[in-house]
Amino acid sequence: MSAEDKKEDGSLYPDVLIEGHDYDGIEEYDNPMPGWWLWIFYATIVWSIFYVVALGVGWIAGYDEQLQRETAAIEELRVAAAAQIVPVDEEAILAAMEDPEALEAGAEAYRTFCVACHGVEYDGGIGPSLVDGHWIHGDAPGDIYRVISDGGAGMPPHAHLGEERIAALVAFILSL
Amino acid sequence: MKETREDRAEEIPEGMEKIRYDDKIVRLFVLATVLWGVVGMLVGIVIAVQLAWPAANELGRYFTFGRLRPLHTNAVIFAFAGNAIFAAMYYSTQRLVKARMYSDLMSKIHFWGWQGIIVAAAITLPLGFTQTKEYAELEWPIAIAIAVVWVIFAVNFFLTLKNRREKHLYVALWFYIATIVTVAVLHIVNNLAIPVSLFKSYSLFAGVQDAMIQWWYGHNAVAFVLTTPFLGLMYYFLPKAANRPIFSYKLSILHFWSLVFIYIWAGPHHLHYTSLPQWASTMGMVFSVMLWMPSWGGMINGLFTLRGAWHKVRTDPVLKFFIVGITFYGMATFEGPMMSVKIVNSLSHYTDWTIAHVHSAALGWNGFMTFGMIYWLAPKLWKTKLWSTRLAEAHFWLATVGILLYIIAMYSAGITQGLMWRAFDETGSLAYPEFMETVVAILPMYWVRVVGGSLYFVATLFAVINLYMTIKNRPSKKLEDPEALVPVATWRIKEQAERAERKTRVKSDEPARLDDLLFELSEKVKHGWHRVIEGWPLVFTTLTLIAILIGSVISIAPMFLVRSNVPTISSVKPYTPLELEGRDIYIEEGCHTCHSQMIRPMASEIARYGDYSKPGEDVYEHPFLWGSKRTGPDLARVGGKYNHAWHVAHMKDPTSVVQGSIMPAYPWMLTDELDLSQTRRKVEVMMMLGVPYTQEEAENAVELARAQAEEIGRELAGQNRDFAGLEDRAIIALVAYLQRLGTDLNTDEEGER
Repeated sequence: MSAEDKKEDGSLYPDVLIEGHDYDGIEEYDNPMPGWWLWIFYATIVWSIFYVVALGVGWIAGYDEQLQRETAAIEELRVAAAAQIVPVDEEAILAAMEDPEALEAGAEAYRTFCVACHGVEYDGGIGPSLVDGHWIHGDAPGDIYRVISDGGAGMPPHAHLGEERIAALVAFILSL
Repeated sequence: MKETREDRAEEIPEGMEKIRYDDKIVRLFVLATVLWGVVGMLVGIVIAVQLAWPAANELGRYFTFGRLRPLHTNAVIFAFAGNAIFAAMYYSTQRLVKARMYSDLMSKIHFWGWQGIIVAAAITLPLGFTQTKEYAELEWPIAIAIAVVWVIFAVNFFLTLKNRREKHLYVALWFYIATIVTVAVLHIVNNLAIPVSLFKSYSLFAGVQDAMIQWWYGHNAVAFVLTTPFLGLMYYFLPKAANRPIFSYKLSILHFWSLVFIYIWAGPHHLHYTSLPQWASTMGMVFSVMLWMPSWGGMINGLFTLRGAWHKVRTDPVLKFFIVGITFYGMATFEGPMMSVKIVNSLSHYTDWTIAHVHSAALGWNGFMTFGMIYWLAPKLWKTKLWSTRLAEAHFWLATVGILLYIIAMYSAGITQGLMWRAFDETGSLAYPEFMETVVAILPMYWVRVVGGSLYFVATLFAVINLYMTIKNRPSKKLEDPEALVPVATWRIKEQAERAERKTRVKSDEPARLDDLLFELSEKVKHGWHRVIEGWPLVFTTLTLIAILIGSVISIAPMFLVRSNVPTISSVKPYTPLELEGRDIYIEEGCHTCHSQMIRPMASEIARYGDYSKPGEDVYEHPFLWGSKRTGPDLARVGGKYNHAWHVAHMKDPTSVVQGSIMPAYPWMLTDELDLSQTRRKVEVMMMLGVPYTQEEAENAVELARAQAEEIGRELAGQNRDFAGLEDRAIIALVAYLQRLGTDLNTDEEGER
């Protein structure tokens, strides 16, 4: 299909060459800018002005408001979830601390699963120290139980040890 | 000018003169384009493999991802695309203004100077000499060399315009002018730094301001190195190859001015949700959205110029490359504004989505426009036929498949990982608390990227073969510069006569008559005001400069003038000398290429990394190290999260503490001596930059560093006896730095968990 055929089809554009525009053989048409192009351009300008105004007067949420909303939504989930979770039996852990058999079972578990990262002296190595009094994830027996069970911050989860053994482990660690 | 006029005997028609264009320089730039293209893409494949298979980092300490990544970006942007635009500019400018380049010597200095800079980059980046700012990594001596070579190029170009025989500047030249002027401004401002030593400097700006300047630069490097010159290239080579007139002169005018005016404002969209003030980020976003149609103006003028020439596309690989190149340009310039919208950016930022975006533009737009140009130019430059059209066709199809594989893999990886990072489970905890989980999920896509990139690379080798064979078939070893018969610049003679007449009129005290002046003016503007400035390169250039300076000044100046943009935090103190050394190791190894230090104000980021970053935390950060990609986790608050021993074990072998980690190992940090030879000077330079160290601290910098190193060494040995005796090793400084990160605020991290 040549240029001429195309025009007979009824081209949208007049395709009139501009006189005097010849650069190394390249010529230019005096065609108008496509209407849709102009209109979208104008629309983006109008939208931009609208956006700046809307953000300024608070119709659109800024960073702070977005964060507040997001945090509130997550908090709601957390509260709802906390109500669902059967709390770790802290009593049982505290009881285990008084029970030499349970403590021995905890020590045994420690030697098998924990020593590689937390050290023979419990002072850490790859994982953090367990005897420096600093608890990254909280010092309540329940907090420690959950870290062992669910893992976190580089530590793999150990839920497979079973509730009893984890409770014994927590008791042992707290007894250090 | 060395236009040869020796053979007067030959008949030259009245009103014409014979000149020779300098095509030798174009040939050199074309060869350099292909050579550096191969190098840049090869490095790209290496780093793509390193991400998928970290053992590939064991090429040696100078070839880890963090050092090679800037080499890849610089090679592709400034060596491959850079040489390509110079080839385009030197070839087309001479013909569009009908004059040889003003000075062959300057052209040569430009060429060899530029190649020297590239070689210097290829040596210094693996050695770890870097300013860290993306696409402006090269240290200060090289940055100065770039400025000098660029100015020589600019002088040569503008003096060629001065010698022009064609009165009016064609649209391609407008884009070249915008490129030359703007790159000079951007480069100089973003490289302002104070040297510490021959290959080490600290940015003049810090934190938020530094980030603002960098992304004003970074985004407009994309604009004025990868967009405007390529549009200029398109405006010359596309109508030439298609033999069709440009679709619309009016569109050229509006899209040119709107593009150069609006582009310069868009930089802050790289900093959404960071501690950049929200107003700046909003400006970046709305100007990016307004940039959509000005960008598409170029695409429309390109594609519509092909009306009536579509049948040629079937047989002509040159047009195929151009069409697909322009289409990728259209895609990327729609996607760019979309990614600038904050809500989209909150997902795409820091992920491989950005990598997909830049590669659809670089491989599709810049790559294909370059190869289209080379296939069109090669026969003309070497005065023979292209060796194989079929091989060029094969290049086109293979490269297209390569790009598609590459970008689909990266879109998939980016969106997947972005969604995983922000996902909460039904209990309100992060669904993927381990960063590694989100890496493992996208590793298969990293392999697909390697395949896609390799296909594109192999396709590029087809071009190398084709070009080599074409050159081999050239008619003679010594190719003469092509002759051209060009019309004498009668308009200039006329203008000079008019000027002389006006002078005599003034001298003769005869007052100028108003109606004469008005008549002169109406004559001048009878083709529109724009036609007038097209005849005045100096005015045109000045207007372009003003257009880019408006956005630059309005978006940057308040960052320095309005104090409330960066509220200070009293507990934020400068780094200790040892931490400063550690920070420089972090910079040298390119840790910032994979780790951000900028936590965004989003619930998922706060849950994962701690409280979001505040502008006041970065006031002593020369340069800022926010990063732009999270191949690994954010480190803004990593201080205190792990003990020293964890960090040492991690640097020695990351997989020993993070199963499946794709981070390179840095075992030499445990054996390299802690180098404190520059420490004092570093502290002094920081003082010059306004960081509040005391004179005493500067004088005792080495002792202070030693003391802190001893202390950390002791703690480390206590944590793990295997790591005893490291207090005089490089790793100590890095540990000191990492343990400091984010601790100045003393935020309650546990509370967020």
